[in-house]
Amino acid sequence: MIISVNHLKKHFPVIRGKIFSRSVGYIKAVDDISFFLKRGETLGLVGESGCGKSTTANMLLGLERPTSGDIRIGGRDITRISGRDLFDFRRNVQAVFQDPFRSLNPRKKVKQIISEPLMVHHVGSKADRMRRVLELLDLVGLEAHHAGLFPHEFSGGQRQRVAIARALSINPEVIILDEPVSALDVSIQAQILNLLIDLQKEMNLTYLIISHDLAVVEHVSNHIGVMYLGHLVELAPRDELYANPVHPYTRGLLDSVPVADPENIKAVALEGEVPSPLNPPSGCTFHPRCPVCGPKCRTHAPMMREVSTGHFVSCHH
Amino acid sequence: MMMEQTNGQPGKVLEVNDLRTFFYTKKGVVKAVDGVSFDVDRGEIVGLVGESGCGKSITSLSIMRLVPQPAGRIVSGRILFNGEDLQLKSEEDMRRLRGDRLSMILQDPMVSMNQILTVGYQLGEVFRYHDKTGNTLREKCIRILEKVKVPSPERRIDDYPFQFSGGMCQRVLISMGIANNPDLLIADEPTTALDVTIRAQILHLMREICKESGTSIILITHDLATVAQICTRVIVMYAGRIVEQAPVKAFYKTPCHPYTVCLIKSVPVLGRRTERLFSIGGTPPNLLHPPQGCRFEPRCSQALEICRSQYPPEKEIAAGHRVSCWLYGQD
Repeated sequence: MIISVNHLKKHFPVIRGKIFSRSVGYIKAVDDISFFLKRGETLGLVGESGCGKSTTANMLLGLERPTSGDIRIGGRDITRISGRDLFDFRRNVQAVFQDPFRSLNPRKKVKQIISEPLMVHHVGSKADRMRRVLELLDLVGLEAHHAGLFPHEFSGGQRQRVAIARALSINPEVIILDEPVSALDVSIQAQILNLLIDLQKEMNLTYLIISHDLAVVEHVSNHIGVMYLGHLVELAPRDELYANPVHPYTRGLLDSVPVADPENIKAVALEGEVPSPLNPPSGCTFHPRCPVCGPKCRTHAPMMREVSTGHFVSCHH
Repeated sequence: MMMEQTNGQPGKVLEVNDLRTFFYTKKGVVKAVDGVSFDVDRGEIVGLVGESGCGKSITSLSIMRLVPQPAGRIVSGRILFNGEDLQLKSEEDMRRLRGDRLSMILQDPMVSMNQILTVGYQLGEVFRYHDKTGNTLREKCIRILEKVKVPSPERRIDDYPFQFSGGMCQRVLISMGIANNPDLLIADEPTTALDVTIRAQILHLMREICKESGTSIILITHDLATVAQICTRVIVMYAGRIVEQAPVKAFYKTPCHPYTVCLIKSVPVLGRRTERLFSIGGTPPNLLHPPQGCRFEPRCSQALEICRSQYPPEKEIAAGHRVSCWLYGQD
């Protein structure tokens, strides 16, 4: 078990007033989620914007402190460490972000970008670091001469390869991928996803991949978690989730994915939008959009239950 | 409206003929759009598909005559809109056309609106500019917001764009686009920045509007699934040129150009998982120095000798299905 997350919560206070500021409420960005992940496996987190996927990722990266709950990575609770320990912990967990046009410093050359984590953590001599950069460029399918170029000289797919090389530079065990392919073209998406799968096999990496594209998540994940308004509403092994989705939200999401087939025109599967997290609906937060909503759903929040081995759902139905 | 020229074909909203838009940079001439010809029928939804940098957005900006100046220039070609040559129009006439008969929706809904003006004010501009004012302006705006299904529009009209979600912002932009019942609406990646659930809603909305008002739509996207869901015809661009165009059903059933085949194969399909995703090797060519022959030749697995030296002519292989590839005959 490399990652285990228990009853993780992150509530952001809503502050009113400038001088006599007070908190008037909380946005429950992440509200009581639990999951675990074994070494070499991938968990995909899906959900609409604002459901708390990225906040979860930030907490796993140690960029955001949880309100309560704990996160164990490699046996250590990372929510209570600071200073030197936090610094060392970051060697094990690295990230690749969504937009490779913004996540790379435009004023630095690729070799500087890739070797920066090595410099920060004082790994090797200058020559060692350069050797490592070339090795990494080769690993992610770029060429040695690319080391001296600036990010603007690359296409989106190539930039994402640079971002992946940077994440791999200090041999982390876990990589958090926050929408790694959603800014890329379809044909390039496939290249990057294949690269990620190959790297995982080769280096026994553990991934947490966040995406709103269910087809992308399906291709790389072993387990999939579906989030809605800060809650994990369904968590299941991949094949089980796609073959047998239980939560109405999961079914709606799956039915919303457009198919490249003009003979199969889809109707709108989910009406409405995600409600404001400032004032979430009572009971089950999904009930205003739910097609099978009953009276109990409006008043009582459902508990997580196991419907079959490893398949958890939080729904009254 | 005055008809200056009536040499367009009846039933066609737009005819683009051999359009070339080049960018003159320090490093040389970038042939962003290099000999593109297509037309759009009345009430039709045409999908313009291709990877980033293939010239699809520049094609649409050329139609709107909004190519960034002075680097970009329409070098040659003719664009007939309702039979009138847009190249001959004055800037003033063009401005009157934009947002009225010819309108455009841009990609990122959060970026393409002014954050410090109310939604109602920005929406009202469309009517104010085109002299369709009067004291009914507010009502008109509310009615148009109702049409795109923004909930409680009479309240939301006074809100600012940052108070709207991405999906709602896109609805507002669509409402601006269709406010004056245009003949042609160009939508540049209208759903790319949105969630899947909202994407389905917006596509459904666009299809309805098209049916209702007879507006033709050019949908620019790199997402083939979106195209399959709402378009009637598909045009595929690669490195500044059209490589294939076909009615939507024929396009997915019998794609012809090797690039199109690859593109369709690389879409990850839900519930049909394979060990490896299919991907096209290599990257699109640099348009400063495009290959001499077929531009897809360096990445093509079926390339012939002739592909390297000569660009293939467009050939009609079935009704409305045209392809530029040497694999389909050399005459």
